[in-house]
Amino acid sequence: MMSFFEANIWPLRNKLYRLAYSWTKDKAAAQDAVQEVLSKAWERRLSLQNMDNPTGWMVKCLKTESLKHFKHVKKMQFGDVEDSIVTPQETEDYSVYLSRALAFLQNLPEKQRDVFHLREIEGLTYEEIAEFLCLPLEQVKVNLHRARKKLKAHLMNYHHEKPKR
Amino acid sequence: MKNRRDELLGKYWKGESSLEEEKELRQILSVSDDPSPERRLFLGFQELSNLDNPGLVHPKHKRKPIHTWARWAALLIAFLTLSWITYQHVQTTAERKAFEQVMQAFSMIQENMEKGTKELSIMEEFRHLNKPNEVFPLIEKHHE
Repeated sequence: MMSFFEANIWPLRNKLYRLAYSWTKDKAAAQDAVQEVLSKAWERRLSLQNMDNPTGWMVKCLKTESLKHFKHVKKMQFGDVEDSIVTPQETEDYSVYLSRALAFLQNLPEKQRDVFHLREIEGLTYEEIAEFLCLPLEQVKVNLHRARKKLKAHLMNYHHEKPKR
Repeated sequence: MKNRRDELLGKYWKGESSLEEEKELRQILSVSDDPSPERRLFLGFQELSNLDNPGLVHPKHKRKPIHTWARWAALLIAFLTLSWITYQHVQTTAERKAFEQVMQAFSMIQENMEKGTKELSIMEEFRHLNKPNEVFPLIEKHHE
């Protein structure tokens, strides 16, 4: 029989990794953050079992660990990464598509970005997103709608700018 | 296909699409050769969703990391040990130096004592001077 950790926590690793990667844009930092969170979860596996929302706890932990990365590289605010948007020329680690997707995500406010990420990248339901981010269902819907509006505006801008090029 | 794409996109922008419809939309966008920015962006999202990390290790197989407090404690112990060794070394050196100085002083005193004693040996010749009654008793008897 699978333990609680094997059944509920360990399968989250790649979702958490992608979430951390979209925040840090650094594969090594994302891996370190997730590995640290998994270690903490393993140490607390018994108390985690009795928690109402262990997934939410994992995401909060991941955010803290990812923030440590920003402190480490002296990037001050979690959401304020306008100056650190990655362009494909900057690193070979990104494809052009991925780089654009990351750049769009980084321009969104924190909540909208996380909700949008979990819906578009992970394909989670509203309820699952609410659990992940410890948010009320209504806020999930509102933030997703706002993020999509921004995506539409972003694409419209792209359509308008394109002929000038 | 294009009609279905537009229909799904319309629902998507209104926030009325279900997860299945969004999956279908992504599927349509990924297979079409349409160069629209929507397609490029969705391909980017898809690429991100395929990003896994096989390097993550199950914590039960991972060596327990050394906690920060343990590192500090180890550092403190090493520092204290080093300080104690240095202190012992300094103290031993100072004691040895003091001992050598004392020995040098004794040696100097002994040398000077020996020199002084030798110089006093001449006084041996005058050892009878403090015994006048023994040297000249006859003179006194003769007077009597």
